[in-house]
Amino acid sequence: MNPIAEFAARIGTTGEVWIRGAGTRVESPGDVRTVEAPAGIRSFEPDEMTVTCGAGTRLSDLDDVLAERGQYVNLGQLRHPHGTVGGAVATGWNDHLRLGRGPVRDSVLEVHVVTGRGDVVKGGGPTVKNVSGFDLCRLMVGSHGRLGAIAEVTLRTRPLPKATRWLSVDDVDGSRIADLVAHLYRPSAVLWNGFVGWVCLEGHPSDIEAARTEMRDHGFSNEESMSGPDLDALPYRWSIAPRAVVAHVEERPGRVTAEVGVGVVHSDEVPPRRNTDAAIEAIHRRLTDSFDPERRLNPGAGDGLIR
Amino acid sequence: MTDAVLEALRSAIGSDGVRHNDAELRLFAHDASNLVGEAGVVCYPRSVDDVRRVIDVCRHFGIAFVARGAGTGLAGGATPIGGAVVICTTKMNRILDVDVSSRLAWVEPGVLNLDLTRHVGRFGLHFAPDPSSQQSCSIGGNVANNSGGPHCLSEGVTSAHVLACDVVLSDGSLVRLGGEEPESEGFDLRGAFVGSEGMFGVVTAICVRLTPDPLDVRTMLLDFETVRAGTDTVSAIIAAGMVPAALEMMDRLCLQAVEAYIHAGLPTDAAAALLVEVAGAPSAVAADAEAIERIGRQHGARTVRIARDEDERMLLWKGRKNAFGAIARIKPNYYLHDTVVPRRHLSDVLDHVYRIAAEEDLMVLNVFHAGDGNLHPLLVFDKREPGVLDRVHRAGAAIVEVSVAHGGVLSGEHGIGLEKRDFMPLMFSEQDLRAQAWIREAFDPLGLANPFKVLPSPSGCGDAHAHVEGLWV
Repeated sequence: MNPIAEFAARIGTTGEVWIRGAGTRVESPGDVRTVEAPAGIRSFEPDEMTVTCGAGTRLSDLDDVLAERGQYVNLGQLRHPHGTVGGAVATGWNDHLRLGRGPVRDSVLEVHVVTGRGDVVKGGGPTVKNVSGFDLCRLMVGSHGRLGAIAEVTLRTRPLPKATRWLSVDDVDGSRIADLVAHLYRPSAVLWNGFVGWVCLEGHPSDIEAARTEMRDHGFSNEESMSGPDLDALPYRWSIAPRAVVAHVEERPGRVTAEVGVGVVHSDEVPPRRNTDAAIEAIHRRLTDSFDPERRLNPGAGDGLIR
Repeated sequence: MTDAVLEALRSAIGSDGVRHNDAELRLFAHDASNLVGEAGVVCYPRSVDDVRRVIDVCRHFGIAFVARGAGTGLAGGATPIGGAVVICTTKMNRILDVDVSSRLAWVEPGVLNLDLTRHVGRFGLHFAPDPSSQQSCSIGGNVANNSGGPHCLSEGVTSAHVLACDVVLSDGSLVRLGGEEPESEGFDLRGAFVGSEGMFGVVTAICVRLTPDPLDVRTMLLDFETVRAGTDTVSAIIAAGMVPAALEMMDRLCLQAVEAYIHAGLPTDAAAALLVEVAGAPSAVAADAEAIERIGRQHGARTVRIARDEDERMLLWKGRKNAFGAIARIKPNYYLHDTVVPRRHLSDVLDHVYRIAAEEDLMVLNVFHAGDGNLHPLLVFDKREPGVLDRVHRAGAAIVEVSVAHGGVLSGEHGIGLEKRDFMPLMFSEQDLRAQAWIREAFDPLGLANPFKVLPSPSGCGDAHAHVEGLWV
């Protein structure tokens, strides 16, 4: 039996199941039967910029294999380097290089899942470009496995940047942050806490040096920093419109670090509950009714809308 | 269309927004494909409230509706079936808001793709998806088809550039999918909606990401004695760790047709030419351009022509973007295909494409997005020739089959629509198709939004197949 069919057989058609990855993102509830997804890289085609692997594959194993050929896949590893590919896709959690590298959801080309009914379903396709049928891949990223247990994915890889530099920029207040951003060409990250800005530049080393000179010429002295800001002390994650970031930070100077241009704010405060719309809730309910009518898969995982 | 429906539509959005004359009904019975259906009436909403009122009427009378932008689609996605109500968004064409510092814009669905890029050009920004029809296609249509274009190789397709969609569902509710904020709660309904070909609802406003213009651009043309040498160069460029902004290929017949049309000094004796553009920061662009020239020569490039200035760059792109105009000089009709194969199989699949065309006694030209393996074989013909359409359709079916057999997919950017609906089982199992039907039902349980497309029966909610002129079977 192939690994996907075997995974489906273990999930079966009745009873609650928790798909266990490495437990680094979400802890299993304990009293639910657990199943692990297949692990291992099935194919890596550097000249296609695609890799196919089991959802149980460790991120570190995948990163190592891709790095040997000068490539990486964006699964939010800067913030969450450990765990499994399936966990990264199921949560869809981004890291703070999203400004330059894009969201995790754009990395998935094809997905094989096992629905709550026990069927294996494929969505997407193995090529870097594909509009054949509805976009099941996007729906699965961030679904916390509530529509289907992710068995295998094909991911889009990218060339590793020639150089990555984190810079810290002092004395950046609300009147200067927009000016700083305006002088940067496609930074991979701009973070800001109301006083200090952190900028990640990736690409050719000469271009990075030129950008640093340009920053200095516009009054932004910058120092090389090992890795950008320490976000560990800010456990909560707000999601706000990028245009609201400056006002948000100015109200909480030093207590938050915001991803400028993205709208994620790392905070010491619990984010407010968001309003939910009845029609949006109804779409969620109908999706789950079809894919997992008995709510067997990963019970309790996900946010307020996913149930 | 009954008088009662017409009357209800007129009182909903005004008589001037409701058209029912023969000329307009004929015009809206098809998109840019040769798939002809039947439009019941054409409505031109001017606002989201108008869209809701039209959909309320459709729901009341149980009539299907089809949203349509500029009608440049090539897969019959906007072809109305069985007298559906066409909701034409061309009068909803306002750019609502541009936030330069956050690099996003809100637009109505009827805004033309290139108009947005022109509007934000003064801020050093552009909208990255650039389908060949970008002068005339609408952003609402781009959302429906998840459109691509030459520069999607490095920038990604439409889905990667859409942050939010305001959508009217068939039950009349107005929902926002996604948002300006980066992490919405729940499932990625925005992602599911993009590329849903009008079957989930009608988009009334779109929040798009804007992309900074590159600091430097280098455009070059490499030509080869064999197609394989060209496609091997494509794979080698990618394997060397570069993602050019665009990597386009034209074969000999196409080069000859284009050269006769635009006189750009294209190498008409070459088997194939690659148009490569690298864009970004200056040192990266210089390094990549040098590496690409070296790789090209290693793979037998005869000449490497680097555009010296913006005029020459525009001339090279004019050749690529106007290939279809050039082709009209060879034969009056063409059928443009769209499949994707893994890059390493490009040569083999192209060999099959030439063989298939020869077997059907058809002329084929190839101009395509080589960088992402997206083939666009163009069959040219004169439809007055008896029996030729049958041969064109047979050849098309064979091209789709050979692409999928090489690990490829049915469509890279045109969508499935009606054109490839019945080919979906080549790629997807019954269970896969049932899951796709579930997604559609979650958005549109009533089945009123653009029915009969994408999903073959019985996955398509058990809809009976309606007759469509020109449909491949």
